[in-house]
Amino acid sequence: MSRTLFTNVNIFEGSEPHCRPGEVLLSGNRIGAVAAPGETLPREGVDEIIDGQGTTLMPGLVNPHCHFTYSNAVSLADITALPVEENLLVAIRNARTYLDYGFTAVIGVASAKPRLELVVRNAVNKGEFPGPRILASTPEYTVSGGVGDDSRLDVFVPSIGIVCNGAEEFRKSIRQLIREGVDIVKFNNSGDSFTFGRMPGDVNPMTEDEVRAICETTLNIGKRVAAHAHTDSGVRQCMQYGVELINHATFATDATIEALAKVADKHWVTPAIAARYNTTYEAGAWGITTDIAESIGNKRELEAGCATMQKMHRAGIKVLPFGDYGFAWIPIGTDCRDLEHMVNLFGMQPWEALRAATAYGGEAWAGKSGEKLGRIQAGYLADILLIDGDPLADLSLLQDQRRILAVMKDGQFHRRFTGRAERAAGKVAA
Amino acid sequence: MPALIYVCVRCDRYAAPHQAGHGAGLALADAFAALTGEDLEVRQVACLNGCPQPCNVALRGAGRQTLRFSQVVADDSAALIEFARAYWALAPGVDAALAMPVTLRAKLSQNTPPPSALVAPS
Repeated sequence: MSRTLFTNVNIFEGSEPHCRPGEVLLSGNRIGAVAAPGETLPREGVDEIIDGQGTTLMPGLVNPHCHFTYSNAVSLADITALPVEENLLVAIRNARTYLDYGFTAVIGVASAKPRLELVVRNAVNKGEFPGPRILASTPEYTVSGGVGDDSRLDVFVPSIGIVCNGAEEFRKSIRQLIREGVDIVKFNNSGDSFTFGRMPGDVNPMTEDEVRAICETTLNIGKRVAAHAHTDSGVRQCMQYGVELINHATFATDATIEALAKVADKHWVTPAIAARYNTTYEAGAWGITTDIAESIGNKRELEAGCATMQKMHRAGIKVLPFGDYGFAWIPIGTDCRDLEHMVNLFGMQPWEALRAATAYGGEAWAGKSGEKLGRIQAGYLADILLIDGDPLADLSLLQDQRRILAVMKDGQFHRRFTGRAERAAGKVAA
Repeated sequence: MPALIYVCVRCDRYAAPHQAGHGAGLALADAFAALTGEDLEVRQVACLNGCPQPCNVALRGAGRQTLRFSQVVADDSAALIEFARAYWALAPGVDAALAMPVTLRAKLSQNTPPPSALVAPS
C-alpha cells in the first residue's frame, strides 16, 4: 500500500470555519493521518512527500444533484432528441469535466437516456475514462402531463422522462431499471416553470399511491430515491416515504420546514438555485428574458426558493449546492458558481457553503452505506484537492481550473501537483 | 474578496472546432492578464452565459451588481480593465454602470442588480 505525505498545506477539513496549517498522510486510497497544527507526521515508510507550497488542501467536491448526461442544450426536448450514441460521448466528456473542476463524486438524478449514467459509471469504475465517483440514476419518472412528458393526445413525442400512471406501472419499470444496475430512482412529484406553463412548480401531479409504490419498490431492493419536489406536499411525501435526496423544496411551508428539521439527518435538500437565478437573469441570449422568466413562473420559484432555503439553513436542514447544471445558461463546468449563490442568496457564510459542497455532500453520497468521504480526517477516502489560494476568502477560485492545482480521487492523481507557478501561468496541461 | 474580472475561456463554444483554435476566450484572458497587476485578478471561468455573442467578460461580487460585456475583443482590454478598477473602487450598492465609459456601453449585455435587491431576507 503506497503512502503519500502532503506537507506545507493549509487544510480545510470540510466542516470547520477556517483552514489550519498541517500535514496529511495517505495510505492507499484513504487518509491515514492528519497532523494537528505545529505537529509533523513520521516520514518513515513514506513513498512520496509532496510539498504543497502553502496551497489549500481540501476534500473533493460532491455534486448531489448532477445531470452529467445533459448536453448544455436549451431544453429537455433538445436533450431527448440527441441520439444515444452522441449522448454517450457527451456524458463521457462531462464526467471528465466534473473531475477537471474538482468534483470527485456525483449523484446522478435523472439520466438523459435509461442506461447512460450507469454505463458511464461502470466505465469510470473500470478506469476506461476519467470521471468522479458516480451514483447512477434512472431517467426521471413522471406521470402523463408531468415534467418530462412532452407527448400530446394525438402525437406521441419522445420524452426525457419515463411516463407511468398508476402504482403497478411504476413498480414494473423501476424493477427493470434496478435490474439494469441503477443506484438511484428519480421521480417528479412536482411540476416546474421550466416546462413553460404546462405544469407549474407548485402542483404535485402524483397520487399518494404512486409515490408510495415508487419508494417501496426502490427501498425494498436497497436502492435510493430522489424526488423533484418543489411542492409542499411533495416534500412531505419525501419525509413520509424515505426519499433522502429532496430536489428543490421551493414551496415548503414553515410547518413542513419545522417537520423536516426534526429529521434533518435523514435528508439532503438541493435547491438547484442556479436554474432559477440564471434562467431569470442570464438566459436572455437564448430568448428567455427576465420578463419571460417571470411570466413562466421561474422568477417566482427563485424568490420562493431563496426564502425557503434561508429558513431551512437556519433550521439546521442540510441545504446543498449544485444541481441542474447541463443547460445552455448553466453549463457543466460552471457548477461552483452555486457557492456564490448560496452566500449571496441564502445568506450562508463561505465556509458553510464549502461545508455543504464537501462534508455534507459526502454524507449524501454515502447515505447508509457507511462509506466516508467529503472530509480530511483519518479513515476517509483520499478524494483531495490542492487549491492555489484560500477558497474561504474567495470561493470563485473553484470556478477557475488553473487554480485547482491537483485533483486526487481514490488516492490516485487525476491532475498531479506540479507547483503553484507552473499551472497558474498556463504551462501545464489539464 | 479580491477585485476580480471574469473572463470566459470557452468562448466561442458554438464555433466549429477548426475555428475555435487556441480559443478566443483564452487569448482574451491572456490579453487581460498582461494588463492586470496585484490589484485586479483575472478569473478564468467556463462560461458567462453570453455564448451567442462571444467573447464574454463580467464583473460581479458580493453585494454588487453583475455587469457582463459581450463581443469583447482584445482592443477592449484596456478600457475594461480600467472600468473594472473603477467598479471595485465603488462601494457595494452604488450603480457602477453610471461610471462606465461610453465606449463600453454598446457591449454591455447584462446588468443585474445586486442580490440584496433581488431577494429579500426571509
